[in-house]
Amino acid sequence: MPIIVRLDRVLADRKVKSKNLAAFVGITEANISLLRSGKSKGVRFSTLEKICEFLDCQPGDLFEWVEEEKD
Amino acid sequence: MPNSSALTAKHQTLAKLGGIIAFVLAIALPLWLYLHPWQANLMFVHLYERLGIDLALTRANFQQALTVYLLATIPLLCTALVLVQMGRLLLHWSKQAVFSPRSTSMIRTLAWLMLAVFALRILVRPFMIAIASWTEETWYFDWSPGIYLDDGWFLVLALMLFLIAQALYIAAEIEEENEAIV
Repeated sequence: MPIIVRLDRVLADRKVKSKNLAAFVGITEANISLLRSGKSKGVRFSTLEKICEFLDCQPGDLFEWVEEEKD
Repeated sequence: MPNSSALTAKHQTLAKLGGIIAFVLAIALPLWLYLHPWQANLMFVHLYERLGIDLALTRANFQQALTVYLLATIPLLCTALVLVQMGRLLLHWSKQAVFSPRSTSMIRTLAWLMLAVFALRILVRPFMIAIASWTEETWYFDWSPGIYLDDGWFLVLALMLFLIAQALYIAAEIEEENEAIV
């Protein structure tokens, strides 16, 4: 997928546990895990807003676009 | 949903485990009711007679008192293990559920409280039986009206536990369908 989720890196940088993030955002740890692993199809603006608020970061810090390799 | 295949497999395993636990529980609960000495004293005295146990003599005979104790304890321990597993599943499901963290926390607390009640009953009963068997006290065995009330409450609590587990499981399933967008 050309969009890579960098939530793992931001969590590690800030030494925050996903459990705490899940509690603050109001979603389950399972969903945070899906987001971290890049398996979720999308993220709501409300979720993104809460994540940025908790981690004190910009949406751009959480996602990265990389060019997809063409066959 | 290919994205949620791992979680689906986990849920399937949980559902199978839940089924096995429910099956074991269905066997363990009647065993508990049939084998614990109050019921045995009232309804299954023949079983004890067949095993050569005289409840009146057990107070003086350590071996027979131990047999009564074990007969009461083994089904209780089995039930305890089942309840602990149910509790663990409850906690797992409550983490997966679609509820807000606050309500999830409340459900978790409720589950722990119920487990604490069961654990207390399970832990206290064999000791009370043993004490009643080893001493001259007869009040414990004569406490028949309360026994039926107790078992009624136990069944109500077990039913509540089961219903909560079911509700959490259904909620987890609903969430599984909605997990594509977080």
